[in-house]
Amino acid sequence: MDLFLWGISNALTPENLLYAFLGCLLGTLVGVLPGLGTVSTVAILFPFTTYLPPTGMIITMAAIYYGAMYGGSTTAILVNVPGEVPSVVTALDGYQMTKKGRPGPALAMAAIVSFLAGIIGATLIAFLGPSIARFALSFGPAEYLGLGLFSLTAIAGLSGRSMLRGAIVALVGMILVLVGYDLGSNLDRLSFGNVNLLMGFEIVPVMIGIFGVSEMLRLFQEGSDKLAGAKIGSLMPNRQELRDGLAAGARATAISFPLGLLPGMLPSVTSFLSYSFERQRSKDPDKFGKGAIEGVAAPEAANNAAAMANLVPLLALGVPTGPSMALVLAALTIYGLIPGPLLFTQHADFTWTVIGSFFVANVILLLLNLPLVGLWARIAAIPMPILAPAVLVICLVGSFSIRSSMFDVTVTVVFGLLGWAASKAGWPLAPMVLAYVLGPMVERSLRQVAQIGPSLLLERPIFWFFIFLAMAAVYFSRQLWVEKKMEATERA
Amino acid sequence: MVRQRLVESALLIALSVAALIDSLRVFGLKSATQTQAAHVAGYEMLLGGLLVCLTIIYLLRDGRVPGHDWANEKGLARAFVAFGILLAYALTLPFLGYMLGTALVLIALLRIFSSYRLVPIVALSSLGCVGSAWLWAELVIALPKGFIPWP
Repeated sequence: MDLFLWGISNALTPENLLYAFLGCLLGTLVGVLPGLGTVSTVAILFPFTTYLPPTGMIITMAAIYYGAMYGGSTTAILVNVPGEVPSVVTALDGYQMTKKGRPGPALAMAAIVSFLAGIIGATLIAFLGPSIARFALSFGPAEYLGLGLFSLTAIAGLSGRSMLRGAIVALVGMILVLVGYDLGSNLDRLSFGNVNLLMGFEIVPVMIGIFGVSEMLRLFQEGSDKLAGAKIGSLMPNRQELRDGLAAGARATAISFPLGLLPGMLPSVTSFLSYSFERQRSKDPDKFGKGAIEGVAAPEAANNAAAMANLVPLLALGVPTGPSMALVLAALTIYGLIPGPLLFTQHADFTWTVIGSFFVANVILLLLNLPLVGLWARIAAIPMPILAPAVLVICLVGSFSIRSSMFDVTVTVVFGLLGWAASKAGWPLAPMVLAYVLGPMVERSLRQVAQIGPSLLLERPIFWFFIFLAMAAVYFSRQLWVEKKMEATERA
Repeated sequence: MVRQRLVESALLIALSVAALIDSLRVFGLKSATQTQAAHVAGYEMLLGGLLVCLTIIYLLRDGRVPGHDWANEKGLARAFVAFGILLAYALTLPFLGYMLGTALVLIALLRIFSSYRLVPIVALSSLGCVGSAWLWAELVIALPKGFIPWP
């Protein structure tokens, strides 16, 4: 607890406060732009944070992440353009509230429950992170192999409607990450004598391509013009709305934080689960989809609670649970900080300041976003023909700035086309990014296990526990998609 | 529509075959020790083999199910035009430089995808590329200069 409070006080230094403030501002600014989700926002802005010191960089990135999440729900509520998948659920009732002339209470409720879920989540990270990290200190190659396989299975199963497609995309990611020099053996793979390919595909240009550029190509394709701005009016929810919304937010936080600790449990999945739960337990389920405040509060709280929980496996085990976390991991490794058990001991000052900054960023977001909601609504109405070219230029400059390489710029453009085509054809993209990050860990562990002897696996119960979890993830993902399909049929 | 599955499968098979062939090359490398080469190539071979197997399952299971309806997809040409402009920008940036390349790409995109007249488009693009060039210079991002040695 002392370390947590010390972390908060450290996050309150003028320099760190400035990073958190700028991150929240930039994240919301880009997040409110229609079509740009959390992952795209983090991917686009990531290269520009590499110029900051390590702590400042992670604080800014985390703040960008939260800011973008809030921005995504703003456009979902005001103009029915969800910037990201979790906001699709928010848009169901949020936009209906806007149509009924009550966008203010919907926005305020989204901000309040996001704040509360974020604060609870940050506190739980402080309690759970060190315990999980201590447990992970006993992990060897077999355990990391099991953890990697479980994470990949879970993300492949939960990020799309087809487990098979998810697994194929994950394998593609694992093959693409092999391109270039293998530092362990000094051998090159899949470079075919090409000097550029010897350097391999850097994760940031790949992510900017498949999430940032592909989104802009989609906007160009749809050719949507200026979006209609909505009048905000009063922000204050009435007493009944406040009571119902806060209760729904509390339930969603309780469900989503534990689920968010598991790889593959992206905020989009927990938002959907919380919304379904609220609808099922409601005495009047027909009001959902017609402007129910619980329909705004539950997915927003779930989204934030899961986003916070996603940070626990990242910081304690070094395992990202989604594409945004994969970028945070990439950010940490730029500075030679390897997320995992040792982060809490060898870099305790850094880790606790970052955890403290999660707390502070949530407060800043609440203070920043409610008064500025009118401004965000106006920014959301920027015409697409101006927005998309500007974002594209930022994407390409961002990917260039990582290694000052024109090859990376071309990689971004090509992966942009691939990402656009793949998402149109219904292929999930998250498993590829996760495989990109987890692939080297799986390979390293597999090689170590092969060197020691495969019989090692028989002696490690935690490895088998992860294999059991992987099988459970397969079963659970099937159940989840059956349920979701039934709900879609019911709704139709 | 069913052809989409075949194209997807062909691309996946091509990638896995590339991995398998490359793994054989790595396996035969004399510069590495036998164990090292076996581990590095074995992993690559494992992934390539798994991808072939899953692609065949995908083709057998979903091969007859209609895929995305690309033929009736609206705005496909717009997306490809935008991609073409972007690719041209990426390939010519080292020669044209950031200022000229960005101005041209902004003019092209705004001219094709917006209903604004040419004068505001040129003004907006010029302002955008000068402003952004200044911002990148402030962030110490050294972009290709090309014909215009500024900033």
